[in-house]
Amino acid sequence: MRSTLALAKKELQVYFTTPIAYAAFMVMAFFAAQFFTGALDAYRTFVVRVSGSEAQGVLEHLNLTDVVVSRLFASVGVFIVISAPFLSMRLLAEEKRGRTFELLMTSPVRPLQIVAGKYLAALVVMAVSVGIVALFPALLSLFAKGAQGGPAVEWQTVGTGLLGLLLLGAMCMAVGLFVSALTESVIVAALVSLIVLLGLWVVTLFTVGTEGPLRDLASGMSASEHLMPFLQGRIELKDVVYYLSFVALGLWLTDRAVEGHRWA
Amino acid sequence: MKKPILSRVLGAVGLVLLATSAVTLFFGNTRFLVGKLVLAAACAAASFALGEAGGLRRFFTGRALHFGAVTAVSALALVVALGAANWIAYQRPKSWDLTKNRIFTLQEDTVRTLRALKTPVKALAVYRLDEEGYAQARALLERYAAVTPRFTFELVDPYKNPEKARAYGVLSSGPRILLLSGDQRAPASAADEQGVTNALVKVTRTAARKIYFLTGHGEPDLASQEPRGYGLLAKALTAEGYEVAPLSLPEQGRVPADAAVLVVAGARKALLPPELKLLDAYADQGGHLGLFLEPEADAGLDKLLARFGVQADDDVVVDPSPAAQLLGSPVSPIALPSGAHPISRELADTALVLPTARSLVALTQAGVTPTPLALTGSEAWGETDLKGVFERGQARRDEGEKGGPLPLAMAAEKPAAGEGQRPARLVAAGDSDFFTNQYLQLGGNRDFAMNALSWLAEQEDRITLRPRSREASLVLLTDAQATALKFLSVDVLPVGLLVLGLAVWMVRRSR
Repeated sequence: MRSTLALAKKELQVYFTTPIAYAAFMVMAFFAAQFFTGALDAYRTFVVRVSGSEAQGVLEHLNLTDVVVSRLFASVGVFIVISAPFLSMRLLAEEKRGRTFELLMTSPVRPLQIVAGKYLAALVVMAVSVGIVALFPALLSLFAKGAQGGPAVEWQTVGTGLLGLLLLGAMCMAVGLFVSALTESVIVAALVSLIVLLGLWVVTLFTVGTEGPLRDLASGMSASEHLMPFLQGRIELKDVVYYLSFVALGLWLTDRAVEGHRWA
Repeated sequence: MKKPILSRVLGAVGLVLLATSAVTLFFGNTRFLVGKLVLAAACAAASFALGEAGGLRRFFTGRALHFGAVTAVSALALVVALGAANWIAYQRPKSWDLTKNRIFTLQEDTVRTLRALKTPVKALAVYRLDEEGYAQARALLERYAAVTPRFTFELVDPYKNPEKARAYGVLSSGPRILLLSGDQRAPASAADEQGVTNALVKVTRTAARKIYFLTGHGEPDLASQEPRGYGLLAKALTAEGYEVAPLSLPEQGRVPADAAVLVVAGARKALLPPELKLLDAYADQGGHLGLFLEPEADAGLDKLLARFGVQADDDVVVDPSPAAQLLGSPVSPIALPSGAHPISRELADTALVLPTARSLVALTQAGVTPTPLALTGSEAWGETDLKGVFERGQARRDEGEKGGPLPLAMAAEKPAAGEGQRPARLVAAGDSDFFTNQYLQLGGNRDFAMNALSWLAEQEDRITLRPRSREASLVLLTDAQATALKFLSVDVLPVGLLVLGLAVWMVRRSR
């Protein structure tokens, strides 16, 4: 445990002293902000447009959490899928390229501890990423309120949404870590995990217009479909199991890949 | 090419083919998939065979081979185990609804109804895949199915599967969700929890749902597709799970025991005394009657109506309002459904068109107080000079003629006469043309007729569930504030992160 934490700490130092993490945070913050302000503007103009007409019924169901926050989080899901490969690419590939991997392998830490330490650091970075996004609903609650005097932003729903994004990030990082263990080139690592993760994100596109078991299989495999209930404020067991399955598979395969270096 | 290199190339090709088979799977063509897999296997085998001659043999022997094989087998086992875990989680949905108003949780009445199911119920929802309501309907039905295995559902695309949609009589304009249980069926009045739950109650209640239409007095024909026929209404009733049959009392000699509703609509001749006696007896035993009259035609139902506190005046309603002119003639008055009764409550904003109608009056001194279902506008009046209207085409409002708003349809319920009897029900209207084939699709006519008959058949929605939703929110932003917010989020935040990153990096480099 102690060596795991020491490894994680060292890894985090690397993360936060090189520009890559900051670049990822910046890109995430910038695009999320664009989406956020865009959705908020659309909301405001819509309210102005239907006010006074007979659309009172529409306004009664218009809620910022649904219309602005959930949509923002859905787009943040895409940014996580795109940014995670760049955050995880160097985790193991760099060690191999810099020939420090042999040092690690000969040190008295077990492969599992190496994998756990690196993954823990990656999770912390992901949590910071998601934390940046949590600023937007907080900003929103300063300027809006519920029609019946309640809070404008449903914090329970925001909470499940953040949890869903965190689980998605955990899955992406686990996949990226495994791919990083297979190659010496950080570029190859980033590209391959990007292809795999994007493929899982848009897998339902392959079955547009079909029905039946194939469509069900595609939506069962789709990383984006599993995120939706979280954004609406529900935690579904099947979605949690899905993301954790990828985490488990990714970590175990990474462990085997590291172990395999002794035999190759 | 040297053998070892060729071997490597082939191995790589095999791996790529294997990896991309996942995409091929979704084209839905098994031949492509099998072909690709066979090719991948062939490449791998060839690569292995060539490698045997090269230096690969060393790699595939001893400890490395052992490690590789063990890893491959255990990876496969792990994938299978995780797949199984996911599949189980799918089969046994469990979810935690953390929204403030529990908007994704079925309400108590619904859960109780579902738990009490003794027979399997299947819901059929007709939605296009790309339709707005598709996802909502699906999510709603999934929540129902999660409560009990007895509830299953199927979504049918009317464009891909028109026969199936038509077989159940589901039309794009009619009910979108239909519940089936055994040979019972009931449509959901709306694609929300209240609609589906009420349909669930109806479909599991094994009440008689047979509606008889009296014949033999010049009534419009049930099977007829002519303008003056009830063919379309009969079809709509059948689609909603009712049985519709004509009834000739002189032949039968009694009102059948399985009658849920008895309708007398558009009788031109007076009913015979024995028939009226049978109807009286039926009403006494808690029968449910629909009496739809016509001006200038005396069916002899006055006494029967009076028992429910209703009187039909001998007039014809003239409606000079522009709306009535637009839809036909001054003698096809427009009536607005009133919100005072379950039949008309939901229809409050769609006008009915009733070609040639008599006006109704509620009798004082009767034991029953009828509820008006539809009223004309205030410009209409009850013209008593029928000859003038129908022969000379003239109408003038005279002294003593009733002015609007006039009730054109009424409903009444009489308390049960004795123990174990059900209360008698009546729906009366001064017109019987409004649900003939010619006029059924006009305005709210179809919904009104269907609601009236389902109320008579005791098939009205009894469970009221207030839909839960999130609290609406207000944004109180001045334009200056909006700009400030934009500046904060789009500008200050990313630039701050960028500056932080740059600073850290430069400090590092200067060391």
